[in-house]
Amino acid sequence: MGFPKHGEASTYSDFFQGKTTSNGDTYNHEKYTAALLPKSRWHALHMGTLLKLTYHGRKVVVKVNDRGAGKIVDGHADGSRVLDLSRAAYAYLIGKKVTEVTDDNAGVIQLDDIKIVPPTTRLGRCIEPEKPITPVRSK
Amino acid sequence: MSDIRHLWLAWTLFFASLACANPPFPAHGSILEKIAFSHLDDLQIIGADTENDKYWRWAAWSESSENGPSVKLALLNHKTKNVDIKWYSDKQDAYGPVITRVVNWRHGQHPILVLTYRQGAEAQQVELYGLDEKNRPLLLDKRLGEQIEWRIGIQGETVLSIYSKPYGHLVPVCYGWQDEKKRLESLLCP
Repeated sequence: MGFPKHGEASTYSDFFQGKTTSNGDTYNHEKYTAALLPKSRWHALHMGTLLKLTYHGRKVVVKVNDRGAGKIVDGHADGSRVLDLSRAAYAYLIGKKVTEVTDDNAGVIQLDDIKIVPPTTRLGRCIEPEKPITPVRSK
Repeated sequence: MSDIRHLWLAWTLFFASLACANPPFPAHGSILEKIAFSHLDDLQIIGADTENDKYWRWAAWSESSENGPSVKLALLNHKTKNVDIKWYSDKQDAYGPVITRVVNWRHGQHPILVLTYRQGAEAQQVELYGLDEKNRPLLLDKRLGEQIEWRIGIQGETVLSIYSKPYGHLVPVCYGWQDEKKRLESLLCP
């Protein structure tokens, strides 16, 4: 199954803070990471792939380092949810601080765009313009 | 290479089973050291058969290789002088195996074996195994959740809780073993 260009995303629960991820990292709310959902997409991208995610104009770059069970309805995986985001990535996209997001108020967001970016891309919030500004030459 | 590893494991398990019947230290210290510090992680060995028949063992462990971590589940028999691996299963991209014999969940005469292992921080798989009349393993049921836990029901029954995130937060769905249907069946969480 290929990886979709948009779709639903949720965020990790507090319970998983400090747990070992699929690639051997330790999950941390403060890092910019993501888990592939559901099981049918676990191998759609390599561990370590960087993704640029867009939500209502906000952009963030995350590293795929985990696999998650995802949304399960009546015992079956629902493919509508594509990523589970670390708390830092999720909080930035919805315009909140990490400490303002809790298990109780975290919801599901619809990502407008999911794009694979080069491994040299800086992780975290994208506050720089996407295209370099071409200076106007003075005659 | 794989056969050599199995042979080594078989010998280790055979001596480990002897160690259970004798004082473990200091005579079998070196065997215990091998088990503790070998490339096998999370090694667990438990009885697989009925209480009167002690020849079968389930063993689970995890290994790391260039292809990533994997979990192994094996059924061992030591009815003769040698330990034989009668059956073997390999779970790729998996780690942290735990095996449990649920004594009040039964398949035929045998208690059901429950294997849980992780495939991600928020992906935990549970698999239920039984033995047929010829002691061949049968995968009875399997489920995936973000987290798996055991509970005790109001009447003391064993309840399996599988957590997933249908909305934004974790919600458990509980299951009990349905002996007639030979599968897990959802029930109200205690």
